[in-house]
This record gives sequence, structure tokens and C-alpha cells, in this order.
Amino acid sequence: MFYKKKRLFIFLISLIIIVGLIGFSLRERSELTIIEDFIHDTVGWVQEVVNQPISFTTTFANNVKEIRNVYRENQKLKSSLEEMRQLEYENQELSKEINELKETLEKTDSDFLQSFNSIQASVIAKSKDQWFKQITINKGTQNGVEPNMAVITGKGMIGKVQNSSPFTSTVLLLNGFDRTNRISVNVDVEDAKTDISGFIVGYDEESEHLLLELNEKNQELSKGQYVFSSGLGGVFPKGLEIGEIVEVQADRYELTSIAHVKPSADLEQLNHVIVIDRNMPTVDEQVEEGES
Amino acid sequence: MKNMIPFLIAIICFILVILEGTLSLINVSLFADDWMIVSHFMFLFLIYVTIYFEKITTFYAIALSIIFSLIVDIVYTDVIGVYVFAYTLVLYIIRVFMKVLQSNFLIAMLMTVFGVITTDILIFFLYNIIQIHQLSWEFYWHNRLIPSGVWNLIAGLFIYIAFAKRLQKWSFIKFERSD
Repeated sequence: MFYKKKRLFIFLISLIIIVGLIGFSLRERSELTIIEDFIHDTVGWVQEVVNQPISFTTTFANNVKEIRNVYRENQKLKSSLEEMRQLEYENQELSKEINELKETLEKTDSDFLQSFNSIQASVIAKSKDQWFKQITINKGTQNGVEPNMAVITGKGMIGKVQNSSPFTSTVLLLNGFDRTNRISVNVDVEDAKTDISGFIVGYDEESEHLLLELNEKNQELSKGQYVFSSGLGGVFPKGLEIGEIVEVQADRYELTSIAHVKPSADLEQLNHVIVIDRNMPTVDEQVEEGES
Repeated sequence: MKNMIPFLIAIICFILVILEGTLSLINVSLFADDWMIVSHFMFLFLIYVTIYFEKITTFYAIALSIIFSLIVDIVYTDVIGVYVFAYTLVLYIIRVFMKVLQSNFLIAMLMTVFGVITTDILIFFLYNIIQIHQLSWEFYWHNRLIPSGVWNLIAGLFIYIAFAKRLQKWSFIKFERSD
């Protein structure tokens, strides 16, 4: 009899502890506890070791696959190389001009929304539960990675740093974004003086597109336009490519339009990423400075 | 040797937890696009520990399940506690079953299927309650439950082949051999 009671007692206590733990981890928190940091780093270190041979094999297999297309790609690349030279020249001239103008205005790098430092990182694991759109990277606060920094690949933005331990960090991918972490964006319109501004408000699981909500109704929005971060959200720098518009709809109340944006970067296949550290102080940093 | 065996089992669990994350990184393009395949390797291994290693008075599988599912929760998810609850509860149920059932291959596979399906459904409902996802039940069983079930059954077969005999041997060394 006593034994039965004891078992029930243990069961109830563990239930209470688990509900407490879930409640604790569900609330909004920016810093992890020391235990979590420790586990993240230990597991991350071993994951990095395990990942070496596996990623070697997969890249090798991909390389073999790519060799077949090399000749055709080479022809195409040769033709675009000519255009590149022209562009490079223009680019050099323009950056020289910009530097001169900066000097005359006496502004430093951190006064521009575009400027950022980049931190190279490798992906070491992905969340095993696919409802969490998270990946783990092998750089942490020791390398300068802080929560809320943007993460990109060569093709475009893939997400933001969710939390960082000393040697590893977790990245929330774009397809896990919801209304609590919106991105302020600009839509690039050709032949127009001002860009269309709006917010990425979430991700549509069915069509696998990001949802872009405009600040005001705009007729110029159309398919094929590119979406960039505007830097006005206070966290990301300006000019990170996010995606291409594939569909425009009116919203429920016909007040604004909602556009479906296809992410430029491939969110499924990630090996090497770049963490973006904005030079201009972010909103959080300014608040902290104000408090101290 | 005798005292090393629990640590050996713990190390195997740790490696399996890490493999779960590494394998989900590899894009498996063989399958349909919207299939969600979730591996429960560590849990499968602990099922076989319960069946072949555990004695009535010991609680190795339950203790290891609490420790390593906590690691799974911290490393792979935002919410701490869901995997701890699901894995440990189902392992306890299997433990109760094994008091009356024999340990053989068929029972082990039956327990694998039962364990994987119950945990996955439990995880689905728990995450549904705390609003991690808003999927419908039809979408869930069609796109996640069946693919994950089949995948874990195959993985379970491999883990069984690799460890079932060894676990019996370790159990003998640990509890019965006097040296």
C-alpha cells in the first residue's frame, strides 16, 4: 500500500517539475542559463567532430554530380566575365567617390546602415524536431556572435541568431519567423525614386513563401521584384537580400497588399553561413547604454 | 568492467543524440518534400536497454532517459520538458509491459512500433497545447507519423542487430556474474 502511494507521489512531483520547466522555458528570455550554455557547447563540440567526415562525404558526392555540368557552366561564365570587368570598374569608381564624399561629410562607417562586419561560421547540426526551424553554428559569444544578428549565405538572408553560448549559437531560420520577429524590408522598384517599404510578417507553410505586408497600398508592386532588408527595424543592416516576389494579393480588408516572397537562399541545404554584425548600434544596445 | 557498463550505455546514448542532429542536416531528397522525418535513436536504444538489460529493481533506462532527453530538449528545441516527459513516460509504460512479456525479437519490434508511435503522438499533442505548431491531425499522421514511424523502425532494426546481444551479455556481467 505504502509502495503504491510513494510511486504516485513521485509521479505527481515530476509532473509538477515538468510543467514548471515548460513554463520557465516558454517565457520570453534573451539569456540562457549557465547549464544550457554548458550543454550547448559540449554537445556542439562533439557535433563538430562527428560532422567532419559526414560533411566531407556529402560534399564529395555533390562535387561528382557537379562535374558533369562543368563544361556548360564554363561557357556561360566566360561570357558573363566580360560584363563583370565593366561592372568592377564602375564599382571601383563609385566606391572611391563614396569614400571621398564620406570624408567631406566627416562621417564614420558606423553612421551608415549598410555597413557591417561579417563572422564566418559552419553549420554543425539541425534541430531534430522539424517543428523547430533551428540550426546550430560553431561560433558563439567568444567570436562576437550575439542574439538577434542577421545570418546570411552567399545567396541571401537565412535567419537570425536566436541565442548564443560561448562557443556555439542557435539560428532561427526564416521559415520559423512569426509576428514577434518581423523584418523591416524595402522592395526594390526599377525607375522609381523611393522604394516600397513593408514588413515580413511570417511564413506560409503550405506555399513555402514568406509573407510581406506593405505599409500602404501601392500599385507598383508586382511579380519579379526583389526584397531587401531596410535596416529600419533596428537590428539588421540595410541591403541584405531576402527574396523575390512571386505573387501579390489584397489582404483581408483590402487596405494593403500581401505579397508572397520566395526566399533567395536555400533554407534546406546549409553548410557555411555568415553572421552579420551591424556597425551602427542596434536598438537593444542603445537601450542598454541609456540604462547604464 | 562491472561498474563501467552504465557509463558505456550513457556514451552510446550521447552519440546517438548527436547523430540525430547530424542526420537531419543531410537533405534527404529521396522522399517527398513535405514529409517530416524525426529520428528517435536514443529512445530506441533505451527501449532495448529496458527489454534486455534492466532488472526489476534497477532504473537505468529511466534515469538515462531523463538525462539525455533533457539534452535533446535543450539542444534541439526551445521548450524544455516535452521530450523528457514523453520519452520517460513511454519508457515507464514499456517497463511495466516487460514485467509480463518475454524478451524476444518480435516483442522488441512490437515495443519499438508502440514506443515510437506513442511518443510522437504525445509530442504532437504537447506542442499543440503550447502553440508550437498548428497542424491538423490529418496532416500530422499523413506527413509525419507514418514516415517517422517507418524510418525509426528501420533504424530500430539496425540498433537491435548491433546491441541486443551485447546488452544481454552486459546484463549478465553486471548483475549475475560474481567476480
